[in-house]
Amino acid sequence: MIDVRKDFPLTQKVVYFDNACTTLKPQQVIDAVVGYYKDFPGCAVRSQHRLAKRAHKEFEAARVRIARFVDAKPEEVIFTKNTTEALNLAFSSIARKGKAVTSVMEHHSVLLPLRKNFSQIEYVKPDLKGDFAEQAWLEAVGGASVVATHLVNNTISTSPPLHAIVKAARESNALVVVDAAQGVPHKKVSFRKGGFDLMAFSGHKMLGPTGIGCLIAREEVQKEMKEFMVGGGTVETVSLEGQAFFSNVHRFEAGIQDYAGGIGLAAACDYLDKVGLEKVALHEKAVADALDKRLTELGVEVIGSKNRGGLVLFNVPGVEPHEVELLLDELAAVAVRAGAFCAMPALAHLGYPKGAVRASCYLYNSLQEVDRFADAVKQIKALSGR
Amino acid sequence: MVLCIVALVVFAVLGIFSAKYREYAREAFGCVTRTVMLRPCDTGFDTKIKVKITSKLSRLSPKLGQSVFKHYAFVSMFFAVLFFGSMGYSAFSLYNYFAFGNCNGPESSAFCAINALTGKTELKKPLNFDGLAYGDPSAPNVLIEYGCFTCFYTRQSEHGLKAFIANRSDVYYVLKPFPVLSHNNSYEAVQAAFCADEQGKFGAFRPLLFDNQDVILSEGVAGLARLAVNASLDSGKFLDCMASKRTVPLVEKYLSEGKQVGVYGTPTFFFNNRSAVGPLDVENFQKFASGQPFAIQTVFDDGACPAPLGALK
Repeated sequence: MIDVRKDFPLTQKVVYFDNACTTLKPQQVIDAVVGYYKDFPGCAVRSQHRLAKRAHKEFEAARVRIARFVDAKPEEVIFTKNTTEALNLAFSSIARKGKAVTSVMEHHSVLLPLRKNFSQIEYVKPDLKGDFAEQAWLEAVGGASVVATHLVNNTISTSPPLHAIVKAARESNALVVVDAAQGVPHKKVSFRKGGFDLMAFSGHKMLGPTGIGCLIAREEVQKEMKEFMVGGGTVETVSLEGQAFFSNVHRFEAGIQDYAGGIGLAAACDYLDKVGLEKVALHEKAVADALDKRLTELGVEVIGSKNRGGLVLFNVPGVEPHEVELLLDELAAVAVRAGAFCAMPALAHLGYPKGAVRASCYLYNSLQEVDRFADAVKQIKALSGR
Repeated sequence: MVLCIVALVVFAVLGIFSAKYREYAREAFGCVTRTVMLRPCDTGFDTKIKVKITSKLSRLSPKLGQSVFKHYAFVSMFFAVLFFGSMGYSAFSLYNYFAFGNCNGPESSAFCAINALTGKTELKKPLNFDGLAYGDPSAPNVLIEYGCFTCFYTRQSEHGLKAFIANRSDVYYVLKPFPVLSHNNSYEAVQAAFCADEQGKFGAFRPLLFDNQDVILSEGVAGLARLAVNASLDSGKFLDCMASKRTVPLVEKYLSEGKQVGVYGTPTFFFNNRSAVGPLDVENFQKFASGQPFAIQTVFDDGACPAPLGALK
């Protein structure tokens, strides 16, 4: 098991099982963010003084480190505010329309931009446990121009058969857009080997700061994409008659960028690389399995497939999900999330339209925390009298 | 919604004393506002309150926490009804207190919490009919007054009192002088009253006492002596009486009686089984005497000269 709790002092005060929403930050990331503001808060590219030059240098170096982290090229890394903006950028910018294929298990940040930009959408449904049949995807992807799916689901942390989906998409000449917000923080992801065309993720879900995310876009796909937000930083020249946009990722990065965020995200990537994502995945699976076991022993309903990662979805009989959330905080300083997790169709499909409680693990959670969590759930169950 | 109204009142009051409750008051206010505007209250405030209460209770007693959690809707409704009921009853009591001087209503001199807070304790029936009397002692009705010669309100009541007893041969009126000791020379004024009574001239002396309160307050015994002359008292005997302090035991007797009865302000009237504190005009004296609701003759204050704590010698 990993032991990095000393890098996360908050773990002494709170049992933090809300990592699917956002994660705690190690001091290394905080120092990197503060370092920008303290030492070189300059305007990269635009100005040429030493602060600006350093800001530019560090920001582009961050781009390189992030690209390496997801096995992509720096020229493929577009900085955004978060996964939602990245997906909006992706679906708004790509020229091709036609049929889009996605699943009912997607986050609203996939579904809503898809609906905004595509009039024809087909939804693939898993079984009631959340496991997808490969065949369902293969049948749907035929004739699609875009396939949008998740790397890891944010409600039950299952994964679709991506390899088969990508293969089928290639045969249909469909673009593959992957919501990797819950994938990149938790397991080694190779954009290149995955065969994806576009991949989105956020910094704050992987120990990084809020306000920064990435859209990884293959250079060939970038050529198909029209500009999303335009303004300073996206153009080589502007006259009253017209403008010439950059041909590289900068044409998608309008305005002053979140330099501190990018630098902080790179620091988070370095931290995770140092710990080892394979170890992170094993660690959080072990913690999640322990959670699952303790909840099941308590007679609590654990929802979803057992083919899951580091996240457990559950409901306590006789207690509303939001009450469980508040009681866990009140009784034992345990942080979880309750509701539909911005995935209402997913919860409805699984049979829980009123929502559920989600405990999501990460590298700093421990088995002792599982004990504390289980004791609190036991108290809550006792309240309901069941 | 009901819980939000209760919570708004409770946390607004608590928020005056402690900042940590102000956020709850704000949330409750938001919930109430939304409901009043026919929008759903989706703040989750009621859930938060439920969790706060049941988690605290379950720490004290798991069984109690469980019971409250399971029956929370009923428990919250019960306490909400209790809350509104007690608010209504408190408002009614406040009305009674300001209208009739006792929060139990015009017919009552029973214990009232407001009276206790303000030092105005329950009035008991006077022990006897001793005092400076007027009328037929065998009359079926007795009107007793605890009054102070230097009290503005006792003076204010004189006109109505005089008009009332003038037309009531069935009423035996007794004045038990009760000096408000925070007034200068109030004690001496009562001594003087008894000195006048020794000479059988209290009837003539009484109106001069009330009409010259400023003289008593500022000149003391010298002023009282001049008033005695004006009332055709024997000046020498009057001064001798005052100097000898032989009427002091009488003053003390009525002060002690008033304390036992629970007099907290002057004038205090007792008509058979009813009591009233404050000045009354003739119309309200009639209502007071006939058992009807009446009003004391003051608008902005409680209409009585207070007997301060420790005032009795």
